[in-house]
Amino acid sequence: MARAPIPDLLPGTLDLLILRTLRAQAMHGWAISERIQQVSEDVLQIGQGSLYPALHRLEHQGWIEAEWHTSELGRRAKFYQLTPAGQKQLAAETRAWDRMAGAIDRVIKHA
Amino acid sequence: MAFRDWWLRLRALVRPQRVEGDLRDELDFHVELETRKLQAQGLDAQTARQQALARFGSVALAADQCRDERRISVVTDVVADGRYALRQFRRRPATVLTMICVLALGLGVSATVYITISSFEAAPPAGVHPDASMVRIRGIDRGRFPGRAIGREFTYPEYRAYADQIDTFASVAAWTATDVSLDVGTDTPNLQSGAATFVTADYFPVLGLRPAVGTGLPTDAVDTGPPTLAAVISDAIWHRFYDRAPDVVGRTIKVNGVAVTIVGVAPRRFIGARTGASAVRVWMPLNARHVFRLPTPGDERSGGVIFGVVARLQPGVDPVHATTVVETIAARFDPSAAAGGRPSRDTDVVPLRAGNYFPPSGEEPGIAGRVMSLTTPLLVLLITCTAVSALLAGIALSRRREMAMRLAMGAHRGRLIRQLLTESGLLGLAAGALGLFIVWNLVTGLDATFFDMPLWMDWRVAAFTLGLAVLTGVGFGVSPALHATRLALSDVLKEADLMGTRSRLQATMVVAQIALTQPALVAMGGLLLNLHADLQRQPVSLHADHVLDLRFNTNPRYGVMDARREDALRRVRDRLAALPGVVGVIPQGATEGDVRIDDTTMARVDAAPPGYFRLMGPAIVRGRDFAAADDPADGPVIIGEGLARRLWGDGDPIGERLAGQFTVIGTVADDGDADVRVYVPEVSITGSFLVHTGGPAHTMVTDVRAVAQEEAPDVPVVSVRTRASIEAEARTSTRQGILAAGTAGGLALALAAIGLYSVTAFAVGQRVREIGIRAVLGADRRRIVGLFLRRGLRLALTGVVVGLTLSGLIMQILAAAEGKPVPTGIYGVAMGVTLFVMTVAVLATWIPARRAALVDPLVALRRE
Repeated sequence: MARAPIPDLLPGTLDLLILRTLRAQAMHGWAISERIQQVSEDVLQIGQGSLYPALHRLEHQGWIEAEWHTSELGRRAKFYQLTPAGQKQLAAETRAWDRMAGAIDRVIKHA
Repeated sequence: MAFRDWWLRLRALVRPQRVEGDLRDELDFHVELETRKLQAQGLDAQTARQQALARFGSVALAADQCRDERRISVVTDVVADGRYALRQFRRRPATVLTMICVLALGLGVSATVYITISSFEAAPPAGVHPDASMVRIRGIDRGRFPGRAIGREFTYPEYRAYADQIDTFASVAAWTATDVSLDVGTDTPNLQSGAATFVTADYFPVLGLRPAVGTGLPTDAVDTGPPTLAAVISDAIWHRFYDRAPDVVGRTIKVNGVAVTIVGVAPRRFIGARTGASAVRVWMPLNARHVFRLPTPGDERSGGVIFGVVARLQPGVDPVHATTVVETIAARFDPSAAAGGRPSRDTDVVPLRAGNYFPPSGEEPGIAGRVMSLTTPLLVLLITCTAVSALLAGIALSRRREMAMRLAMGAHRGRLIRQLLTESGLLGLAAGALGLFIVWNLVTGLDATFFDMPLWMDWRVAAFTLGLAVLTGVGFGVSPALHATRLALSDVLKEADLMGTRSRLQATMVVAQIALTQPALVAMGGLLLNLHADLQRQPVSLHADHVLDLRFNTNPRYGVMDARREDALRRVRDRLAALPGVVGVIPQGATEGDVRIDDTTMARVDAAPPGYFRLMGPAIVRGRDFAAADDPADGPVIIGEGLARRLWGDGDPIGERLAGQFTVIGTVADDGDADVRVYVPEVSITGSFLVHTGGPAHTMVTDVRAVAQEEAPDVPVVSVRTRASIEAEARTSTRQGILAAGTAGGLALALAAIGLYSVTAFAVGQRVREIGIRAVLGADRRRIVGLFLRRGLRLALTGVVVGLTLSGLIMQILAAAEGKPVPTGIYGVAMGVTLFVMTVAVLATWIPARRAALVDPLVALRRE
């Protein structure tokens, strides 16, 4: 189901950001949004209304899988991690993004 | 990753609470972490939480969007619709229960009738489990009677040729059966007539049967090897003569006087690879056959002993392919094909089931016959559907205000229709389940009644019944649902002129219900009349318990009736007559042919030797019985009273000449059937004797049997029974038929009454408001009721007229199909049914109308 992510993001970018964030380690939802915010130096703030539906969608697509673990607070939390299929998807989306970003960059600089 | 997707969806469906709890936990956890982060930045606990929640946005919305990702809304909607439907049902339990019962009864009865009819075609032999790889090799002979196909069995070499086709058949078994006498006594002889089937070693394995007791016949018996004197006995023998003793195996049974060891008991009900055979039966290895002094078949064309053949196909081989294989082989054994002529035989491979026992006759059962066999279930189903559809329409209409309201508040019409269809589908499902229960009970009961006719409910019938139930529910719910959701709120609230369409719909249903109910009931009544007439026609002979009926099997297959055999039978007659305790022996004649009385009348000539009428009836009315002193040259005959009246009016027929060759010496009462009969005294020996005993006949059975065996050892005895038991058995089976038809008729009557009552009563109930208005306006209550009664009667009369026309048509078709005139009592039945239908219709109008008229007008007006 198509769903509007953060208006500032290009369509589909949210999935890419989530997959990339999960590449190194399993994380729960809050940590993912914090990480994205932190790495992007507060430029990208993921609305929670978009984050969780996106996580559930990715889970249904089989790109990430979830497990319940005890969190740092001692409470049970749902940790997401990349599946092999998710890694492939990440690679594909990264390539697509590179091509797109490169294209936009070239247009901006040389057109 | 479709698998992952489905797994998660399934989990959401099956464990909704768990999944919902997880979702709540996940989102709560996020808010809590956010709160802590804000607290760490220096906010107090409460503000931090508020801010965290504010940042998150609507938790409910996020949760909803997460749920959407599961894409199971279709299912959850259906579940919600189902819950809503159940709530609706609780609000009108009477209507819902009526509807479920009507539909269940209708489905149950029609499915049972269908199962019974189709079992006559599709059932495997009794006691054998259906299996697609089990086939019969069927021979058809077209040469013997031009234009007619008759069954052909196989010679042993031909059977062997089929058995050698190991690429086509996994195994092939052959059997040949004959009538034998069985001595089941342990110390003293106890002779019984029965049958023996001689089988090849594969016989029981091919049929997928294992003996219920014992090890069964040796599987390594060689057909041409030394005789194995072992027998498997039928369940009937075990039950009747051995009291189901578990140690029956190892005992001895005498077959045609030869002692044979019992090695097993066949499964219950199994009587061989075809139905209609004797249940008192033993199976023995083929190699033992010659030990039993069995008559050599005199029929030259059969070329020796003949066999029926059953087989198992190799996996992957179908009957069509197997047929091409056997056709080639059969041609080698066809004398006319070998002589270069046109082959006169067909041989095919067909599934082993009742419909394939006999060769295709070329005269396919007429369309009329086929239609008739389906008419009853279809009529019942139609009646049911009309009633259900009327009830559903009623429910939907009574909820038009609710529907209009929901439409006005923005509900999608499609969603509402889906809701209504869910309701009717659920009703159908419930009715289907109840219907299956009814079918199961009826079928089990019938199965126990018909011994050699296995009936069972397989999954196809179950699925069909359930599917039909749901389809009926949904199908007949569509139109009311469309109707109820098409209304504008303002119209409904104003109670605008919906009356027109509504009463037209209801009126049509009332008329249809009556028009369909009537023929069904009349047909059922006709059937009962026929059965009753059968029962009346079965005479209770005066001396039934002093008469033994002795029958030999004179089928030429066991030896042509040559002079030697006829002499043997005459000796039997004379010896029996000389037995102490025997008053007389009367050979029973076959029909001796037809004679032309005059230009318009043909009479059947039956043989009635002296003494026959006194024993068996009909009673002699005028003149006298035949006597030994009669001069055969005069051609003395006794004729029916009807024929005498027709020929000579009230005059005395005694001494009159008939057809130029007979002299009438007496008349007998007509025994009720339409044939014109002439009785002559001469009887050709047929192998059937009536033994008139001085004392009770059953005490003479053993003596009579012993004489028969001594004087005519090579003519098998079929039965020695008292007339009383033969007549009682015939009456019992007719009574069973009456009981079955009566039960079905009673069910149809109940179904019809319920259906008719609900349709009519609902039509009236719909107009309670109108009645209220009339009452407020000052109408007299009796006049209101009268008004409704007149309307109801008009509808009922219309239905009756259509129904009577249909009934007449059906009776004509039925009579034509059975080749009998329409039974006279049928007009009485039709009158009775009409009266019944009218009474139900009037009651169904009167009771609700009266109730409505008695209600306080204000209450009536307020009613939705």
